[in-house]
Amino acid sequence: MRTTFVNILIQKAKDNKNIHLVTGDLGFGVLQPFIDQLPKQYVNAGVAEQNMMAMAGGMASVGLIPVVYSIGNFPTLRCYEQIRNDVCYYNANVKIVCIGGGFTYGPLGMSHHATEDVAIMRALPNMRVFTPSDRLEARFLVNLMFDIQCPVYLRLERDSLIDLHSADSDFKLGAPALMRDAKGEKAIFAFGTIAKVALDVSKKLIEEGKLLDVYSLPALKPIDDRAFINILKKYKIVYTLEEHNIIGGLASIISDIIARNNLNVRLVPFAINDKLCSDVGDQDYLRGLNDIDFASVFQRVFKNW
Amino acid sequence: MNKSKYNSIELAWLIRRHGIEMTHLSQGSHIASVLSVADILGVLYADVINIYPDDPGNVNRDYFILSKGHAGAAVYAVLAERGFFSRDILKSHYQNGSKLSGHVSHKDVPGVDASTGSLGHGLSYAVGIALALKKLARKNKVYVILGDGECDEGAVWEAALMANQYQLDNIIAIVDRNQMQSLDFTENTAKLEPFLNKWLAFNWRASEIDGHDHEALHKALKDAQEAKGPSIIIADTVKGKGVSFMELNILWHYRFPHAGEEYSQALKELKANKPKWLKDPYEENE
Repeated sequence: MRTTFVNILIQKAKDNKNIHLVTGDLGFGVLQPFIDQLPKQYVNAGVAEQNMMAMAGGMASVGLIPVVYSIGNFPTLRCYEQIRNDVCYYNANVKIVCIGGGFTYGPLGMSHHATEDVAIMRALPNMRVFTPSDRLEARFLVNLMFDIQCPVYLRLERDSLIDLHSADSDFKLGAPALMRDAKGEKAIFAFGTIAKVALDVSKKLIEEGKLLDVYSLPALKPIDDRAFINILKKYKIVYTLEEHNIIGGLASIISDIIARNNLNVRLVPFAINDKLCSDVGDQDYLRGLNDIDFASVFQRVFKNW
Repeated sequence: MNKSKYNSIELAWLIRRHGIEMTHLSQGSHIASVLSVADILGVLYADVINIYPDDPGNVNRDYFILSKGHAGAAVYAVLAERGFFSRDILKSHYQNGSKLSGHVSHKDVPGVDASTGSLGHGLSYAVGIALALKKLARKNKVYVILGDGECDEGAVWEAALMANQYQLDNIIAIVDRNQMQSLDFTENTAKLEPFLNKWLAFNWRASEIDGHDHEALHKALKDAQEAKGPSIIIADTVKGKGVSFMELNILWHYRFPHAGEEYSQALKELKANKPKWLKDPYEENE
């Protein structure tokens, strides 16, 4: 999905000279095609995220469209107040792109685990939060990002060549996207590449005669309550699965919708249990330690079916 | 350029006069910062910044950012006197339902380019504007006033690096070097000296002047406009300038001029220095 992002960005920036890529000195190799083709629309802001984000706000105030690129928590937590005061307060047309949502950079350690970003970015007025799970969602969201004149947070993970949706899938901003229709009595919701785990769990359950529908959430803000209500009403139990802290992410979003609309559905969340992870390992390994991997989710859902 | 009907001395006096009235009425803080920055703003808005009060968003305007947003009353005062909005609005400052928050906000306030208040944002925002203007091949300048206490913020120095990197000769910063911050003198808190040398070391064109000397301010700003890279003027000022009992007294970072002796004494001292041909906007029959 990273390549999808860069390819569409190059195309968009060729069409619109106001689009500028602003990196926090990261993106080695990945951004090179952009730098080679559009050097005048490229800014390396150095290792100075607070300045980078406020600068992006200033650039947007003159009409440019800065696409601020960094990894992990650097374009979010590190410069949160700049995003709030210098971007969101103006509803500025700044796009914030994070590579490395969740445990993408697992072995690099806790500093590089972006596991509270959704919670804090959702909390910002005017911000939109885009969380693609595959290349198809990424293509939809990156295109959309340039069609709307407002701050967007795009949370990407590493390149995945597996598309989880079918090629003809249709996405709607704010609505869940049906990833597997098993005609189930229960459903699981996920965002990001961990949606693949949800699909695998569903597949295995179907083999056991238990029907679990799977939805992804291409965007976690805005949320269209009506779209969710129509879906949630179909189930007595729904699961959420996220590579994010249990506070402020997908579990919170769905519980809010249930509470706000007085829906009679039980929510069972799979998420990081409010901790910072000091274990060393790759994305799959850390998912396992946090009980959000295939085995953990399958066993718990199967046992309690 | 839209011409000011007041010269810089008059404008600075009006800023101080409004500042006393606004903080007195609202019981708001930061009068000492308003007084220290008044001359800098007076010079900028009388003679230097290219503005269009009837068309605040004009693309040819120069940009201005008060990064030390707590002296917002001074900016609102100068904008009113330059005709961006009515003087009457100043009385609402800091009060329920007002558009004029204690720290500068651009929302519904014509002439304000950037909202500030949390320190250490303004120079970065200015760098973004200046960089964008360069990219768009526009000639506008970006003026930004920093507090000296504000320079404790790391982001100020991140911005200093970047402005040099991109050789942003369209950015002109002025530090209101009043030597004081919220709780103490700057040198008792986080030593800034050698302050000028810090900016020189960041490869800015830096100069130091008396920040209450209008002639020196005019000259320094003119030099900065012609500089090859980013410029900074360290304007040595006195916090609370113009009201003797507020000068260099940390109390007045937060205290407002209370009714009675404080308010009347402050006015008395200000009026003693009023340009005699200038009308005090708060005295109907003067």
